[in-house]
Order: sequence, then structure tokens, then C-alpha cells
Amino acid sequence: MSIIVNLDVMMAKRKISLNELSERVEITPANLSILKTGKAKAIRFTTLEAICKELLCQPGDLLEWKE
Amino acid sequence: MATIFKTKRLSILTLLAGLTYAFLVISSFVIGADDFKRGYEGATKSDVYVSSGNNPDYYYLNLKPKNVSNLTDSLVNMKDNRVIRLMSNSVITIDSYKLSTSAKWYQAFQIILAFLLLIIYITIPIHFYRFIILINENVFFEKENISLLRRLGFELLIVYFGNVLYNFTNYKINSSLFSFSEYKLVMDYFDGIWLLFGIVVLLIAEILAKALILKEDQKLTI
Repeated sequence: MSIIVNLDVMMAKRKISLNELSERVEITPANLSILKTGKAKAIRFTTLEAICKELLCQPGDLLEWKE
Repeated sequence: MATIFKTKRLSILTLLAGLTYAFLVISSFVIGADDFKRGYEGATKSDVYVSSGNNPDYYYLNLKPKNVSNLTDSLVNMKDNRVIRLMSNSVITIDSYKLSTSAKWYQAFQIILAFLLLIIYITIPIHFYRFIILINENVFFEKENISLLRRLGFELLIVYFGNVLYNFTNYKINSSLFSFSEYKLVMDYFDGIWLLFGIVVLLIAEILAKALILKEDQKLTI
């Protein structure tokens, strides 16, 4: 897929662990890991909103399109 | 009654499907039972033929009149003793013929084909039963289910095409031995319902496969 998820980059920038973020956004660590590793097929707006809120970033910071 | 049907719908439909399948298969065996009996008697009681080294055989000829208006055969209607003209569609004949090499190959092929079809007739209800068991355990959109359905679909198609091939080889054997002035030999017909069943089952398997992809997509939607 040409959409890259930069969640790991943003997490490193904010210095937050996977478990901590998963607790804050109320997503299981397993699901957050799927998102982080780019295995996810889709992302709900609610999930995106929750992550953006916790990481204080824009959706564009998390998602990137590459050819 | 309506409540029982609602709760036991799957079991009732499975039972009906099983009974229908048994009826389909058993009826074909019942039809063939007379042929089997004739063959057995032909092999055991034909001392004359056996002593000369030629066993008599039964040949099932499917005929089509070359000219429909010219009815050469007749039967006597014993109700009113009137002679009625008729055209024959199928004839059974018993005699010993020397088969050509190709006809012998066709016969050998028929034996292998009959054996294969027998196995498939047994595996079809087994696969169907396994599929129903999975559905009963609420396993719907799983790879195991889909592969079972695909196997079932291909088996149904094999039954159809195997029987068509069997009839074709029969026709080839008969046309190497017989030729008539008023009739031409035609291939025996095999019920196309097996072909329809096979395609429908494969179609359902593909629908389940699509549903499985959607389910996996759904699972990977975070």
C-alpha cells in the first residue's frame, strides 16, 4: 500500500511508548501495533482523532502518501 | 411447528438435502440394478458363448430415427389388437462382438472412470456433512469452509463431466459395432442438474471467499 503510517516517528518524537499511548487512546496494544507496523487496512476517523489528540499532531503527520 | 422449523431449520434442510442426494444416487443404482443382474446372468449362464471363448455382452443403444415420418417398427396393442407404429429411442441388445483395439481401450477407460466416480459419489456427502458441521459450529467465513465448498463444487462438476465422458465412450464403442439404415446412434443424455449444482456451489464458495476478504479487512481496520 502506498499510504505510509508514521506513527512510530511521531511516538518517538513525543517520547511515548506503545502501551502508554494504547491506554490513553483506549485501543489495545495489539491493534496499535498493527497500525504502527503498517499492517492495518484502514483507520477510523475516531481512532485518528484520538491519536492526534494525544500526540498533538495533524493527521498528515501520521499518514503519508508515497508512489 | 413454526418455532421448531425456525430453530431446527439448518438440520431439517440438511436432512432434506441428504435424502434428496440419497434418492438421486440410489435411483441411478436401482435403474442400473437390472443391467447388473443381466450382466451377471450373461456371464454365468452363457455356457455356449463361454465355451467358444466369446462372452455375450449387453449393449445399450440410444437411437434417433433418420427420418421421423418413416416409422419402420411396430407393436401390437393388446387392448384392441391394433398394430401401432413406433420409433425406438433406446434398445438393449445382447450378443458377442469382437471389439476393436480402440473399443477395448474405451472399455478399460470406462472401468477407471466408473471407479473414480464411485469414490466421488462417496466423498460428496462426506464433504457436505463436514461443511454443515462447521456451519452448525458458527464457522462461516473461514478458509476451511471455502476450501470444502470448492472441493464439493469441483466434485459435482467431475460427476457431470465424468458421466458425459462415460456416455461418450459408450457411444464410441457402440458406433464401432453398430450401424443401422433407419436409425442413427446418438450419445446418451446425462442430467445437467449436476452441472448446475457444481457451478452454484462454486459460486457460493466465491461469495464466501469475498466475504472472508471483507472480514479480514474489517479485522485490520483500527
